[in-house]
Amino acid sequence: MKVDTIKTSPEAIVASAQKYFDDGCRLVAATCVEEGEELRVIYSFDRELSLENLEISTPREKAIPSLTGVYACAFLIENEMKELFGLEIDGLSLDLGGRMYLVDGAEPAPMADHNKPKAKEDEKIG
Amino acid sequence: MGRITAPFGPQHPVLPEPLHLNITYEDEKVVGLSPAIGYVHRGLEKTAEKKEYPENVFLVERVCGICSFMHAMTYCMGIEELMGIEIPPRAQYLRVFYSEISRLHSHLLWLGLFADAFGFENLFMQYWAAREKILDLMELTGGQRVILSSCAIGGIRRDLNAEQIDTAQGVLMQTEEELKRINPVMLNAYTVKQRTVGKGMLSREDALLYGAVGPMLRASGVAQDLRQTGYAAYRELGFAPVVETDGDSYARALVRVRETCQSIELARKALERLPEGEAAVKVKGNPDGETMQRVEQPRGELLYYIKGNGSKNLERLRIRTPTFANIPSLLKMLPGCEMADVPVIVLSIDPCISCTER
Repeated sequence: MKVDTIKTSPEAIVASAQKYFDDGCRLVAATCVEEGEELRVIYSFDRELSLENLEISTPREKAIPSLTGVYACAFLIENEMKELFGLEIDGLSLDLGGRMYLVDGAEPAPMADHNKPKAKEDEKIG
Repeated sequence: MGRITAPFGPQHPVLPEPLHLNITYEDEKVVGLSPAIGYVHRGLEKTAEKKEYPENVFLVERVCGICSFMHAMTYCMGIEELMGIEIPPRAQYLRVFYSEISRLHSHLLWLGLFADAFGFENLFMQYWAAREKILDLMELTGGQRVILSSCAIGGIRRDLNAEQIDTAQGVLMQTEEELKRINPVMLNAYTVKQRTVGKGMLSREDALLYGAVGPMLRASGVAQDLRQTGYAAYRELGFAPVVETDGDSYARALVRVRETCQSIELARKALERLPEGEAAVKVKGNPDGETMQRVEQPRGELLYYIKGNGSKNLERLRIRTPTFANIPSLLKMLPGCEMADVPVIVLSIDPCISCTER
């Protein structure tokens, strides 16, 4: 399926997620994607086997609110985004302190843009 | 009463892979836990940005050795959608066949490990002996026992001939007969019930709150299985999910036992109705845009987010694996249980750390 998203603000994301929770939807994933200077986070919810996406954009240095108050399972996803992309998250119910994957001395935010390889020249295959 | 916190894993006799939990006990009762995964994280999502998109089929197969075909299939489905590729009907049916024998060998692996977790060694050996025949079947049809490399962007890389199909049908029938003999032991033995009934309870509400997927979710009464959406040839073959309602470790075993029989039926049906024609189409161009694909792995829902930019390299590949989604449920299932039940309950989620730490 193509990714259709509903854009919302970081300030409104908890209330929006609460509506999905109240409707009996399951939180499937949160996907962090770098878009220039901003981080784009796509929250995916399952409604009776159909996927619905909420999207927010935030500057990396600005913290976004945690969804753990609504969906208990969000702590693992949010810890992962925090560690791999350097995304700041306020109100995490279980903060693994940046040591979920990384060890002492590891380069912070290894998935962030400064580690991105340059795309190769466009070529056809066949 | 004093409290102590002790690590469970990453190395533990009951664990096939290195899951690490810090568990707090009061006497012998669990009162809290904190998961500390990351022991074998490989950064494959980042590696995927450095490979050309056709090479990533082989990369994502190595996310997990147990369900490698389904990783490749989900990735291929995503790329095919981005590039507007329609694969031949024969490939759709073969994808169902390979998916279901992957599920079958995964569930047989787990049923053996589960029996081993509560010391039923004979049952462990029986399940693994049955699984061995499925691995042989994978070698016969795909050329390898685990990493098949059968799935390709545009279809299936290695088509099956009539002789292979006949042999596969025979092996599946034989396995069905074997399981008719073994499964009643898992389901009815006194010792199995003593160790699993009422252990690691997860209600329907908690399953949704903690984001459980797959047999975990269905054992708690939620009738969700992505095969219901009809991807590959599931719509044509007909499918209804296996659901139980007790939400304990026994219910999770029961779901997987019933799904082994269902997988045999689906794999056989896919071969019986296999359409004639090509098994793959040629692929030209590069993927552009973004897509999300979900399939039902043995452990539950697998999600791939793929973002292409018109070049050979992807901008982003995100993989959300089922065990990653099932780990939070342990925060609900373990507190209150006895220390002796921890290994069985942890194993009841069918943890795949290779997937989790992609």
